[in-house]
Amino acid sequence: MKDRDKVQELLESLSPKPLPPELKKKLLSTAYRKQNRFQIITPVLGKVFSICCVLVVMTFVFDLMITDSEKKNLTAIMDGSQTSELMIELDLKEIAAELFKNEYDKSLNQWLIRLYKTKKKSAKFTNYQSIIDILKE
Amino acid sequence: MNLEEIFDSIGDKLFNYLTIKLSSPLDAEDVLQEVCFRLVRYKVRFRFIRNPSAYVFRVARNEALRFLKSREKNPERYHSGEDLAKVIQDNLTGIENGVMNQVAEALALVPEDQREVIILRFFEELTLREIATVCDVSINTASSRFRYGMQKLRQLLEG
Repeated sequence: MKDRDKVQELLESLSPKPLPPELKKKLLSTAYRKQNRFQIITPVLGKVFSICCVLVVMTFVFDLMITDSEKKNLTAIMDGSQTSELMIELDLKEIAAELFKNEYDKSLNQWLIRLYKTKKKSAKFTNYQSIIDILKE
Repeated sequence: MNLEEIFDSIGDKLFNYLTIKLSSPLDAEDVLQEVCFRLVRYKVRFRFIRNPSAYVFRVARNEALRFLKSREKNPERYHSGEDLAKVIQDNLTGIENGVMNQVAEALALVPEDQREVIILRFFEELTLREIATVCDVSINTASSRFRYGMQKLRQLLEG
């Protein structure tokens, strides 16, 4: 055994003895049995738990969306930016009267409504007080 | 790759490695049982492991070290380690008894960390990179241990 290659060859010719097949089976089956015994959440329970978690998350998300939408509606009501068309028409009648000192003119009112919508689209104002300022320009 | 397939391919090598590491086939069986339980419990991780063999050997090594620490603290609870040379001889096959005896005695005299690398390299057929992963050292360290272990083994066998 003086040659280095011979030592390596010798070691390479060795191999571990095979494990008895019954020992392999025993080790795996015991491990699975132990795993089942200590399992707190069974597969079915795990799936139910996952579905419940998803539903809870969805509830939170929808709640946030609904709250946000309600907040916007409340804000709109408070500053009047989402008032109905009828209210716009009535308010603009007063504005027309103030600005033009004329009696109520339907075509003038419609013109004011169009102007209001155009200005609203360009986001120049959010409440009726600024309508008067813009129309006075 | 599932646990059964892994066990079929490297179960023998695992048992051999643990037997030599713990110097006792009975302790090796206990530790291997614990390794199986851990692998069954965390089987989902196999999907994300590139090298399952090295991973399983690493788990086995960690369990063996834990076992050895526990054996040191409570020696009366465990089997005492048998003669290492005899254990090596009983667990390996491939050459005649006289030469096997010589090799086993020489291996038993090699320092433990170097012997571990030699066993993993030749009997468990791991690459040096895998051995470095299993032993949690750098490749250079694994390579040095292998080189010095082989030098020591040659000196002992040349006798």
